[in-house]
Amino acid sequence: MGSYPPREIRVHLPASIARLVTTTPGQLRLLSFAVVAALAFLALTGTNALLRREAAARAVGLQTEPLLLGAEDLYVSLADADATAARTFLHSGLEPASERERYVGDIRTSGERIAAVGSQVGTSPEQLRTVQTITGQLPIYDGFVEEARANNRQGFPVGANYLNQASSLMRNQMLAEVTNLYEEATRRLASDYRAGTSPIEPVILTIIGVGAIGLLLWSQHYLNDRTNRVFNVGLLAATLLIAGMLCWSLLRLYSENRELVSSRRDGADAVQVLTAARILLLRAESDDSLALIAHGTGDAFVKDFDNATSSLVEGTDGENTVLLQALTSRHQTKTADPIAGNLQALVATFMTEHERVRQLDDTGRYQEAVTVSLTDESSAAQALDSELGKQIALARAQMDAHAKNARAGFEMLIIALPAAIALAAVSSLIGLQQRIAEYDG
Amino acid sequence: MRKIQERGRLIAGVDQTTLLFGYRNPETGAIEGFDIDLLREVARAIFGDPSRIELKVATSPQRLPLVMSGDVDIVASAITVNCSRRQDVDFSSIYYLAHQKVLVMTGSGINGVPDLKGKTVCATIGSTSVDNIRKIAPDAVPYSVTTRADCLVALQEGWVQSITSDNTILDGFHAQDPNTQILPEALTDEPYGMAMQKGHPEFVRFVNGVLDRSRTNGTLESLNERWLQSTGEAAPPPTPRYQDGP
Repeated sequence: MGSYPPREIRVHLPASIARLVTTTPGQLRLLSFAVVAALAFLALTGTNALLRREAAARAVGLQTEPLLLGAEDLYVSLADADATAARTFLHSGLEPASERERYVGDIRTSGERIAAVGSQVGTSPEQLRTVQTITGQLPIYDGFVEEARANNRQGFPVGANYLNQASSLMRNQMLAEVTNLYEEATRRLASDYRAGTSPIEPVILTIIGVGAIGLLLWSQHYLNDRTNRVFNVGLLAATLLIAGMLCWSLLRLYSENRELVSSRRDGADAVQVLTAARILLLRAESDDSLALIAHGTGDAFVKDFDNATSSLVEGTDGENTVLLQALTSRHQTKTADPIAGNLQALVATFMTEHERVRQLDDTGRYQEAVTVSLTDESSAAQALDSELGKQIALARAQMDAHAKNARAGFEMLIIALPAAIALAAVSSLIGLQQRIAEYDG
Repeated sequence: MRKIQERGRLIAGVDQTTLLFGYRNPETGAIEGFDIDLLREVARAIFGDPSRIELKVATSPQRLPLVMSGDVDIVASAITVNCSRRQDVDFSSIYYLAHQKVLVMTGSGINGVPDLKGKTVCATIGSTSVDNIRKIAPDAVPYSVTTRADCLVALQEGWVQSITSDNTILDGFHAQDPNTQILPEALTDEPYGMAMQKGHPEFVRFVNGVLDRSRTNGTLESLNERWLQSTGEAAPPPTPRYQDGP
């Protein structure tokens, strides 16, 4: 009771605050406030972390992967149009209907895919300009091909020059534009994958969650100390609830991480490698036809063929080939070896046929070279292309399935987490209020 | 000469990209043209059979080195005989006198070299045609392409207003597009001869003999008619002049 000086000091504090700090019920009220504040903070940051990761998983599966695939599809249909136009030209006036249909189909598909990609690029002005450029060039390209065809049908050699115009427009401008799109999509996808597998969210969630649980446990310890009651049901329930939610959230993030890694490794990476191989093959096919069409003035195309196929079969260090990369990335799905082996055998066949064509052409046996090119070499390329197409479809399915798993299950968690935390807060308050009431009463 | 006879066939370097002179017919796959028929006459003279001939496709930069190395016996591919080339190979007598001319679209309003002022003129990079047109029509705007027929694409697409080249080439362009016309003005003379390896005067004399006979028996004239008459550009076979006298 008696001593004045401390009272004088306390005079500087408002009496209500003094009561809060010094008396047990006051301290319990403070504790209630701290618990609610900590849980509110956990609810905010936790939900935010989950929302961010869900957004990344959504972006991967619903935006950037489709954009990447759209750009790849567009590249393939344009390159296929170019290879088909050149091959059809070699047939002279007697082009088979199937080749003509394939070319027309490629042009139609390319048009549709340009529109699809246009709707996927979002608002990036640079990407939109790229799409506009390709949209404008497609009819010009087709015009050159048709002029080549009309001249060729009349036996006019200028047809070959029109075909070269078409092909150089396609290779030097249109495909280069699509490559820009593709690279941008690859960058975006990589950044979404990074965002979706970032360690920041689980770390934040763990620190704050464990902090909140620590506070709840400490509160129980404090109550145990002051009130000699072993359990406080409200606080205990809140602790269990928060611990459970923390586990659920971390498991979800872990599973998202794992699915995205799989989507990338077994899906996107394999798709990219296999598509690169397919594009190189189409380029090589065009080169081969253009070299023949150039009638001995096509050295540039022969060189370009060698460049394209060296990436296909040799790679820069002699071993790390594009197809071997494909093999390695597929290897992780345990179904690899026969597939990659099969692809390599098909590449070897194609190269053998190509050698035959070049040898015949180089020794002046032009007509035989054309025949081999249009029959054996073409069917070797066809076999390789359809095998690549099949593998790409499989890898895409992997990519889609994993991306879907990665974003599944977030919706419920994102509602459940703040709800459960609110419940925990209410439960803690009730638990603490029981004790406070004992003093007040 | 004996080597050719022992081999049993003549190996000739030819062009397959110049319509009317040496061109691969896309329908038959065969190389045909004025030069090819003339070479067949040489084969006929050696073996009595015009089909005893192996045609090797040679591009413009390849054709003289092929003769010099002996990979081919003879080349006939619209080669202009000139002094610098004479140091590397021997030439037959002149079998065709071409001229550098100008091709325009019908109704373009360009009727002669003076009208080329300010107009674009297409020619192949590195060809003598480019140098000539710079001298003859300095006010024209040159436009260079890498492959000859790219000029026809450029003209048809409206990128250029005229093309200059040998009339033999322009004949081929006109045959592919009747909406063009060749201006009558001859800017230069381009005498064509067949090229052979140096050091075989007996073979050169033999080929000259074949050409001489073709001139007198009308073969050259009928070839001219067959390949070039249709374009309205027929030139009479020129009279020969021999290095070692008639």
